[in-house]
Amino acid sequence: MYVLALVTQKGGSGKSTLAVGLAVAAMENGERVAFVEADPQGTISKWKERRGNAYPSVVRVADPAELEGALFRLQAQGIWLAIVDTAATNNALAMRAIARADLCLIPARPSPADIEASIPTLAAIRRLNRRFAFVLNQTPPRGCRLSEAATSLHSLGVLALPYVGQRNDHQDALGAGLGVTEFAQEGRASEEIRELWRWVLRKLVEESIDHEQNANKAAG
Amino acid sequence: MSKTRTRRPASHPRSARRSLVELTAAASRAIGDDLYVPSGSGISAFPDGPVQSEHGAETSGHTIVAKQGTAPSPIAGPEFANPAVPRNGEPADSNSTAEMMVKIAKDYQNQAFENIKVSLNAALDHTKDFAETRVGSDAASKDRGGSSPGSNFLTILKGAATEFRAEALELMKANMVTNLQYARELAGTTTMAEFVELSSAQARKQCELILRQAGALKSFAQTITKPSAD
Repeated sequence: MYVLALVTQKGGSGKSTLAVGLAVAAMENGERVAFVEADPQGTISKWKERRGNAYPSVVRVADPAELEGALFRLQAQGIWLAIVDTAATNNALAMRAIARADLCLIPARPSPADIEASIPTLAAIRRLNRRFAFVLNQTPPRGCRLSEAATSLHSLGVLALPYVGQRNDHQDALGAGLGVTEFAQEGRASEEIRELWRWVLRKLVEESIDHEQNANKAAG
Repeated sequence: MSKTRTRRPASHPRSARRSLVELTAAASRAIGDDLYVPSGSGISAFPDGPVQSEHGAETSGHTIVAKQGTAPSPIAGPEFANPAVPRNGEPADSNSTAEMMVKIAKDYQNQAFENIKVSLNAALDHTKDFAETRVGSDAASKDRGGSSPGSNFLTILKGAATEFRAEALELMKANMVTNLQYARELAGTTTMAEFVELSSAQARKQCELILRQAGALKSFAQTITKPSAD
């Protein structure tokens, strides 16, 4: 089972919305997906209540010590991908999620507040020696701020592609208990999320294998 | 080819905008000092954590387990000592991320310790109850002129259980403190990833071992009291 964690201490950067979009896109791809919601705000649980579908399942975790057990149970249920949505703070639970993740996604909007707030998270990820990627989220269609943000994030680490544009479909899908790819199947928002999922998938699967091989080499 | 810049009318003054790249560079420099401080005093091996646990097992758990023929799966030694690569340099005392990690590890260990204490006490209370019941019934049968070959043994067992409880807890606590000290040292030595994983793995292994001992003791109590009930 792969563990994908969405982390950054900045609220409103789109962790939960992206998590939902990616989870549904992954399910459309035939993957068995479940959420671990480590955010007391409960955005995903509330989304799930609005959703008339049993999948993906949502497990809520409030204590760092519960995370391991929750992931273990999901793995036992045959889940292939667990997406951990964390709270907008660098708390112990978020740290455990990072420590356990195969890949951490750090969503950031093209704003100084988001980028600055992502840096302590990035520091923690590097210390925990985890793989990560920034996701440039809620981007405007054009403008120098977008390219500056892309340059900035790229200088800090890997930047996932494509950027996720600012579109109402994401919010409307969340409100309807759907993934954006279910809500507006042919929209630009759906295209971006599907493409982003393919990018994440490559990172997760291909590079996890490389990562393991490197780790084995290092251990040997 | 003169470089012209469009300027807004003076009637709408605006402050100069700072580029995101510049802001990011400044922010990452601020934290970058923390990120890349190579430091440490060259600690490369984990303290002998499992040793105390094995010692604990010898008090009574070990014998019991052997008797039942369910020997505990050998706990691999400090296998996680390996990644702690020694480095030279100054300890990063001012490292806020490191401090946070230490705190997390500490919380985790405290919690693990509390949980395990509760489980262990529950298991041992169970044992004690069995022993007391057995001693009581033996005493009663002795009064009626019956023989009581097991009574002394059970009194001993009861004592041993109490002793075992105190000793196991003490040793476990002591070892966790040692680990934490080690973790603090390690915090300045190598990456947080190694340190957090090491310390939590260590705590978990100890807890598993102690639990196994407690479980063994409980099973033992059940085994020896069962024939008397028949």
